[in-house]
Amino acid sequence: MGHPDLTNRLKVLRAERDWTQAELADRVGVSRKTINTIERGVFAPSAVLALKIARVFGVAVEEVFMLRNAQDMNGPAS
Amino acid sequence: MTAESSGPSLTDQVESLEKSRRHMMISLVGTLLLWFVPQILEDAVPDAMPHALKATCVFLGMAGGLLWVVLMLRYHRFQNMVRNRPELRDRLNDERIGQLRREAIYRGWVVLLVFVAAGVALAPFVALPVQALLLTLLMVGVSAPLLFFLWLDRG
Repeated sequence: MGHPDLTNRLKVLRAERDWTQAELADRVGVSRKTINTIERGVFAPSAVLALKIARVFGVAVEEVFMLRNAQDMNGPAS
Repeated sequence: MTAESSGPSLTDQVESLEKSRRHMMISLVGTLLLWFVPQILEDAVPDAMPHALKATCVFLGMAGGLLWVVLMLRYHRFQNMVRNRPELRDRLNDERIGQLRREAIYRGWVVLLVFVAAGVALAPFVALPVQALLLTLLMVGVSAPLLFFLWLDRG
């Protein structure tokens, strides 16, 4: 269900706002278990859900979800 | 968005309903096995079975069937209750659950195909009792996706 290349900063962003997983789940409109599995990398959310999560944090989606080896994907450094 | 003091919060309700759904699915698999396995045994070895054991199989099968009907009615009531509460319905059936359902159905279908293929492969060598074979396929077809869902959603 998860994706090996995808990582996220959900836990950090939650902690900064002092939100529990349940509070975030309420704001996004999913179950707490879904937030928990996303946070642990067990479940990779759709683009729509990722955008919803980014919106409730008030940040760009790239600040919540990122690729593990993003530098490799941008090609060799010049 | 913190929990209100009056009554359980939405998250608590969702978690409680998730647990109920999980228990219902486990019970459904259990009663399905109780309903089908004695019948399959009875059809597979009708002559080799002592009369008392045969009677037990019939009784267990009937009890399983009755329990299955009761549980299905309970599940139907659960679904109706959730359908009338959109905020709960959307959380209980969010995209993770949708993905798990699709995955469970796909895996269950693969298992069913394996059983069909095994039956086809054995048929030229063994006289397979048709009734027992069909009941087995029905049991696998229903229980395998449920079991895969429970396993994928284990936490």
